[in-house]
Amino acid sequence: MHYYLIKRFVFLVLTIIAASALAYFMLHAVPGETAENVARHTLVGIEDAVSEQMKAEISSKYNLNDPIWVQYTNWLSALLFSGNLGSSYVYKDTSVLTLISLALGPTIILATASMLIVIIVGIPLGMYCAVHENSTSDLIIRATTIFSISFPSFWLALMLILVFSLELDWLPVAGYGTPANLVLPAVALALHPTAVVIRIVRTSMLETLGQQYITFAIAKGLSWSHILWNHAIKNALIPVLTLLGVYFGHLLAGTVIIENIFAWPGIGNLLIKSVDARDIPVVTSCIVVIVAMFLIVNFFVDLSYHFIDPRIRYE
Amino acid sequence: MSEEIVISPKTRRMLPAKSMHDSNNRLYREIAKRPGFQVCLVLLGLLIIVAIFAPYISPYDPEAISVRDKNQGISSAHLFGTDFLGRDLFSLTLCGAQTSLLIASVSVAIALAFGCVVGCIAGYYGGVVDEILSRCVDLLLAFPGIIFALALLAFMGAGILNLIIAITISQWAIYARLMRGQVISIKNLEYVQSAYTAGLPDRRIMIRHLFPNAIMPVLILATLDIGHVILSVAGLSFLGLGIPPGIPEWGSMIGAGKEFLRTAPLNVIVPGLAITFVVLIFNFLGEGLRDILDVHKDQVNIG
Amino acid sequence: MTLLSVQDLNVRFPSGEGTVHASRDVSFSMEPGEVLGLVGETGSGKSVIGQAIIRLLPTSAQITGKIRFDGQELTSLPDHTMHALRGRSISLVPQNPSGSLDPLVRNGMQIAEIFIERGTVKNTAWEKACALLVAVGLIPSDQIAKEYPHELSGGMRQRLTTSIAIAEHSRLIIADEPTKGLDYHARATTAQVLSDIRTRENASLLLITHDLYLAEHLCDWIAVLYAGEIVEIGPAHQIFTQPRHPYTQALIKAMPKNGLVPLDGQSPSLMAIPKGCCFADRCSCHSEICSKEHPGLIQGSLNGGVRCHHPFCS
Repeated sequence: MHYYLIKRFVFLVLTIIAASALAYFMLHAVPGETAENVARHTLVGIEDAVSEQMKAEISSKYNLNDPIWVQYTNWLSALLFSGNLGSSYVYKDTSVLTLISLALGPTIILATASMLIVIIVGIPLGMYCAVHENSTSDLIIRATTIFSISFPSFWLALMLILVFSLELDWLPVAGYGTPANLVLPAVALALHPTAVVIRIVRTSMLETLGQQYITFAIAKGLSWSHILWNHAIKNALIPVLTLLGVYFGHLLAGTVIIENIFAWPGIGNLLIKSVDARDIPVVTSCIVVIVAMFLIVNFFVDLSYHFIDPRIRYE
Repeated sequence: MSEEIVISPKTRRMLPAKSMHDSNNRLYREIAKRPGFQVCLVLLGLLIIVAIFAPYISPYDPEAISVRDKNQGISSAHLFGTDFLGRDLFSLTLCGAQTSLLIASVSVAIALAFGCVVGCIAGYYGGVVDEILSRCVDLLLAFPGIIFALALLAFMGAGILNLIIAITISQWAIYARLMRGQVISIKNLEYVQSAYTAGLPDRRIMIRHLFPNAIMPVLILATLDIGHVILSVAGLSFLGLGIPPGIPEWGSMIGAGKEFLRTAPLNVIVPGLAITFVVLIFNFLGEGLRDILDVHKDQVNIG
Repeated sequence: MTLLSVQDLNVRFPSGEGTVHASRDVSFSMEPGEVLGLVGETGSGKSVIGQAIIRLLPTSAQITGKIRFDGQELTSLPDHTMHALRGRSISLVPQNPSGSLDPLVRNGMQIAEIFIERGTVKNTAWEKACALLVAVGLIPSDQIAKEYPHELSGGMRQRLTTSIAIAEHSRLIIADEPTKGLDYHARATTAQVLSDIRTRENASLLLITHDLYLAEHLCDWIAVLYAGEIVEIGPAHQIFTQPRHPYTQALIKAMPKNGLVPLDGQSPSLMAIPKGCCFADRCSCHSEICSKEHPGLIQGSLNGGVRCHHPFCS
């Protein structure tokens, strides 16, 4: 068991590093581009032309002519050994690390709130639909989920703003600071994953209810509520659990757009702003942070699977 | 012939067991039983026609700016109203269909082809080849949702070709993984083993035997994925990273129109409904396909 | 007083392709403490009869006929009354023990939950469960009780489900294919367990099986099923020494100890029951009347009966 834990942890770390390498390479692949970019931020204005001489100056100053893997290794060692992610091009006196640590909190709050909505709304509704298969409520809920999966989440966010902020004035349009600010973004972000979770919980529950051990439990004379709570729900939720990790990833990716709409000062917002401003060090770091969060959550989900399903425990 | 009686767990009904080999006849029969699915197929056909002929059937030139007519509501002159620059929203919507469907179908097609080949090779050969390919797939899948495409576009800049490339690269990994799983579960079946023992070349086994049988779930995924890709493209364009300005695209229309959310909500509502409608069709199609192909697979023998 | 009386039981399953007539005019009765074997090949509809008695058939099933248990007519009982009988008066040993055990529940709890749900304190329930494990030979019972089903072999799982069936000292135990898929040793152990149950519990045992060895050793009476109907019924020793129906004769000849002589052909589709005798096309004695007229069950002088125009033929 411990061997497995260590193995998975090492794998996690290696994947994060590999992903960071991939992201770094993607964003720094053309040294000329990078030099030009830096020049635009530091020497001249964003729109101005950059001379070859300036590019050469920058390249030698920041070692941009080194092979890409050397640059990457330098970046990685700076990160691991001195916690230094470089400086932002845009916010010239601020380290990337500071920017990220400021943005991390809001994103975690938003992601957690949305995930809670997904779990608290999605799982019970899915179970309800399965137990009342083909009833009117089941059909209505299923129809709603197919629609929900088809709306673009950013459009839904705007529609929510239109109705609840602009027309009804119940909630603020954007911003950060009060619980009221959290409601619309969390709901907009949670909509897709919740709809998907309702469907997969329903399918899983139906499949579980068709299993022979449920029929045998009835033959044993156990009451329906005992069967539901002690046999059906646990078995049905196991495949859902692993998928929750994947949907957390979609949630994270979704923060990119939702934070942008609601001016929520999280990592997603920082990422988009940096992409617009071509602030490459920040972009790189944001992407690595998002990937790392995704992989870490999945790591814990995988681990929990081991505790929950006894068939896997002893492998 | 001795009748094997089986129970379908979903409906708890007894059905005579069918042979496991799909035939086209059965496919037609299943489709004939589902009028909802037929409606979706018709709508899909209409959608494709609209996408192809959009510029010709649009009542107005989608790029025709007319500041005088800006932000008008629905009228007989403008079926969906006009946007904040006076452009006809109906024409913009039709041309946006062309853009979205083009990008989505090309990206998914290429990603599907590439992913299936990689998945098939990884699943069939196993060993080191499988390890390497699977690690590549895992690496790509470590980037959730549109993050990878975002990074690529941040670097490459906006543009239709870049968008197609970015989406293709972020999508193929899922197909590869699914295909690999399918191939692994099929390759140990008897008829594949006999082909192998008979000495057929690997490529022939893969193309003739593995591919056709493994591909079904992957195709279902691809159908559902087109909807998903349309949403991603819209999202990226909304952020200004996907389509360059000047080409009508529903996401960028929403992005540009959002500042008029209160005053002229049609700017935002119309393209959003268009996206929803199209994605809905693909979602129904995907679900319908899954239903058709799945119905006789999970039966339990009671003998 | 007769414990179980099944009369003219018909079970039909409507499907898109036609109606599957799985059980046709099945009638038999059981006394307390008796072992009746329902014997037949796959597709003969024997499992359906067991499921019909405990009322666990799929909802699409159409059942006609009478099933009287302990004075009550089961087919018309309200759901909750029927459910009160399950696990208590009537128990089932299911056909597929591996699929019938919840993989997330410990072995001991699979048994104990029956007691716990009815109000017993957990410790007592656990002790009772361990005692039952001992009764079916699953020892050391404490250890096995703490393990999970996937850690047991097929034969051990079979014994576990059997122990569940005797937990409440049921009057009627329906054992559905208890030796299916078991190796020789597990088969013998299971036979022994069932035999012990019979002696100890004084329960009636409805043994549904295609395993003639098991039937020969355990059963007092045997009903032979073919294509959904009973073709012969009688005392066990008579069935094996003086089989009257040609199908029964063929079954016995096919036993390994009798030479493993196979029977050609296949049983008819239950969606398209042929006119006349169902066995006619495979019967070496068949004559013109066999194809035209469906034989009724002729009562023999020694009790039991046979459904054939030419019994004792060949």
